[in-house]
Amino acid sequence: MTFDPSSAANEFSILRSSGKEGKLHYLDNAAMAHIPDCVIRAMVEHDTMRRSNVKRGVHSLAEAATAAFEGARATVAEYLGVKNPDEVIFTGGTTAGINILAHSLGLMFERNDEVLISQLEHHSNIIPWQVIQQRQGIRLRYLPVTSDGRINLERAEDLIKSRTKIVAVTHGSNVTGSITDARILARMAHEKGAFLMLDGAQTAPGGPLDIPGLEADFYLFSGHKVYGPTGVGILWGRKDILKKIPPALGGGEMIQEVGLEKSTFLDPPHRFEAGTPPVTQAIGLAAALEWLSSQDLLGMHNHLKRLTLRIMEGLTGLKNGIKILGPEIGMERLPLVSFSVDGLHPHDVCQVLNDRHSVALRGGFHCAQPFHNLLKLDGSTRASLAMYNNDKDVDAFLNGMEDCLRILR
Amino acid sequence: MSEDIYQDQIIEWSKKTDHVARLENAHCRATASNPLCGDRISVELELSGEFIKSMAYQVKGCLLCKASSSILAERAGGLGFGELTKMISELDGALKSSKDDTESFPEGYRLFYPVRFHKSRHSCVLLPFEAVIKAVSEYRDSTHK
Repeated sequence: MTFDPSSAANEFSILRSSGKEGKLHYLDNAAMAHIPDCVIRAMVEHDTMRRSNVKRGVHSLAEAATAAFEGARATVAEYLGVKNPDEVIFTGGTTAGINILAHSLGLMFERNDEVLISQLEHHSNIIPWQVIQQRQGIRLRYLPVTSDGRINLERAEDLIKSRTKIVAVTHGSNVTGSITDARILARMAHEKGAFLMLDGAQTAPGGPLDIPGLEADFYLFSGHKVYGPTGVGILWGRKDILKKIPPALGGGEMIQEVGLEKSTFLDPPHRFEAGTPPVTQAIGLAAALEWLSSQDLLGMHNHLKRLTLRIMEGLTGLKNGIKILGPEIGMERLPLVSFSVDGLHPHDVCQVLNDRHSVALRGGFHCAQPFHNLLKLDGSTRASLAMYNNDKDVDAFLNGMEDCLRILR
Repeated sequence: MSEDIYQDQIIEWSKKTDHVARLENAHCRATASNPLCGDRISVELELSGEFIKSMAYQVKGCLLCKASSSILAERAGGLGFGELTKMISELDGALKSSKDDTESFPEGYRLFYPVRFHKSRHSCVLLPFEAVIKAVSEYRDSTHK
């Protein structure tokens, strides 16, 4: 059976309505994917039938809401391939999750301890560690990037030292689309007693994960990139590690006992979920993961691989000073393609494609300015795919690029 | 008027390099950047009393920022500080205006009329002004001490 993107697209109100006008070619999925109707329905149903605060109420609605919320946690655990739902912490998104981890784990750091990230990271995996660096005098080190946009793991052995507390890197780059070989890195980190954190914001949309197989200690992703709502994400951590980490954020719902002098905290995951969590969004996230898991994932993967190849070959054929960032044609990559065009600013490219061809792209640094600085680029343009994209979207993009080069050059 | 941003006029202005230079006798200089898109312009001004005598710039940015820089440098000679402030205020207001007319745009800037439909691009047009105002303000602060 061939994967049918139009059948997937049909489950999205926004795509059905724009499809009638033949207008929207949405290729900005690495920033935010659209949300299928069933996910919206799940959230509406929760808010209209079971809305109540979770964890502490004894009335029926509170119990129903808590059951739904904890059920969502179990769904996320299943998606991650882990057995214990208590290892899943609901956050506001990947950025919020990395901040929670950096600030909590950071409380255990000592001066001159080291954190190893890479030059390929999204700002959300740079700034939180820089904040800890400034606050606590730790050292922040960077893994270099290969010429084809991968984290250079050959340098990892040298850079992971006995003082390295955590190696925190992207599982899949939002700029180059390269995928990090997590297991190799995990083993090198563990050998020196360091943890491995993977930013899975771009890899999680590919379907259910095998976290134990990756051998990571922490994993994060966001709802809005896995066909779910905004304002929610997860931080997964190994239970034995989470239990040793003090919370950085305090408030209701995370405490055992509160005194005026001292308080005690609940076990994970609750100790890391201060205040009312994003209940409705968590339920939406679970609905999105269930929906995504029910798709023909192999078919989706092959479909996206074919469209990605078409984009790369089409851009290569246009020549005209276009340089594709990341792994070469034929090498493994996420379904996204970033590129630079000599003499053209990414925002001009995006504007022309939007205004004249109804193609939604993203231009700029993609929150990865250090990596662009490294390449001496003022930004890049990115086309990123989701399961509902089809050949017409790629046609519109490539025709638009041809037109763009014609009018702006 | 066409609502297409990339009209010939804007593209032509963006390609002009008449004032892309350094001023050896500059009285003041400043850099302004837009973190959203990475546009960055450095301006140098030669002054005569309360007036700009000449302007030169270096710009790394989008076509709108380049066109706006080019027009401003072309028109800057002889502009008083007061006129400059009035001009940026008018341009900012015209870009934000919901009225369908080009009249509210300062002379020479009507070609940016279509940009008003794209709020995220307003700062590309305004950035050169920001740099010039910054340069003049810093100069005035330093000389009035």
